[in-house]
Amino acid sequence: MSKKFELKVKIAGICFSIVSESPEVIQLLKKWYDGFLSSGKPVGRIEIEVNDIEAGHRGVNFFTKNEHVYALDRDFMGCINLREDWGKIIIKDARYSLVDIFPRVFYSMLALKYDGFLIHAAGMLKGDSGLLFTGPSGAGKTTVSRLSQERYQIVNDDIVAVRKIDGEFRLFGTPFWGTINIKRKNRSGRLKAIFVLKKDNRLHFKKMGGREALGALMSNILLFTTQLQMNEKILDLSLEVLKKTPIYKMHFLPEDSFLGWINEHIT
Amino acid sequence: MNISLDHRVVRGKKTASRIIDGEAIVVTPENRMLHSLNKVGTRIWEIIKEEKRIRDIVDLICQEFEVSKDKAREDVLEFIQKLDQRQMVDIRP
Repeated sequence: MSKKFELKVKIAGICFSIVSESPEVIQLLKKWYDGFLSSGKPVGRIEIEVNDIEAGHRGVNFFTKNEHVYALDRDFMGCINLREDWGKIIIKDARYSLVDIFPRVFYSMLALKYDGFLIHAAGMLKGDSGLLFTGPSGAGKTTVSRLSQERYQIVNDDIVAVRKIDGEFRLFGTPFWGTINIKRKNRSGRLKAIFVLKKDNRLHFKKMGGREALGALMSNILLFTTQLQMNEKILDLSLEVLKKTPIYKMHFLPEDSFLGWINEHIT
Repeated sequence: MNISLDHRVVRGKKTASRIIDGEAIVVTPENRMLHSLNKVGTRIWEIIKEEKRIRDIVDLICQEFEVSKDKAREDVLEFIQKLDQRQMVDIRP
């Protein structure tokens, strides 16, 4: 039997282990997930196998059957057991873009069991106060992060974790993706406000509410399953976040004038 | 699908929903779209938690709201048709 290497990762206080026979996979993740490695007790486990496969067509397909989520792409195929919190993926080769996919997908579902979720957002901290700037690719998360670097600590400019701990929502850095050329940080802060990004030719903030706010938040949360319980959990957590946290539509220009408004009204 | 009063309807198995301030918010899982229902729509949504014949839904709506049977029949059928198009319900003969 071949030797298996193990790596334990802790994000937002939730620890899971990644196991692989491939030293390249483990080395890649060790490097990329630096700062998020842990010696804690894992509550979930995934295995990554490297094997020359032709799995499916280009473009990821996820589908849910009972308590399993399947992921299929030209270069990988994987399965997650939602009840027992384990998963296995076979990837074509040990390149980072393939190696990182599964931990992220797996964690997005694991976190939900512990009142947490992943969201497409830039996360920033000032002391114990955390701000989320959310939006799809191209909305301006990286731009806003770059412009804020001198006044805020950026934990990630692409994917951030939010978790309810003792009745309070906190934002956490994650090791996932991130395009800005700064180290992703394993830090957290109390979630103080959420901004939905909209590039514009003027600076303008509008408080959001009701279905508009809920839709904006939920559409940016990462979830790869259609399972009812998980979708209900996302809905409940989103409603609770919005009860406790103001959310604004932020129309902005590519300059740092938005920081003045935030400084005056939020932090 | 041509839906008639004899068809049976129930909420989609994967459709998450919550009632907030008397209004149902429904999430369709495939596209994570939100749909909010009005007062009568919310009542129908509550009724179809269990499978129901559309004819029986019409009777319940007539009892609970001030509406003629003809109008209720027309509105309920149209509403169920919309839910079906958005893949929010399962319908069988």
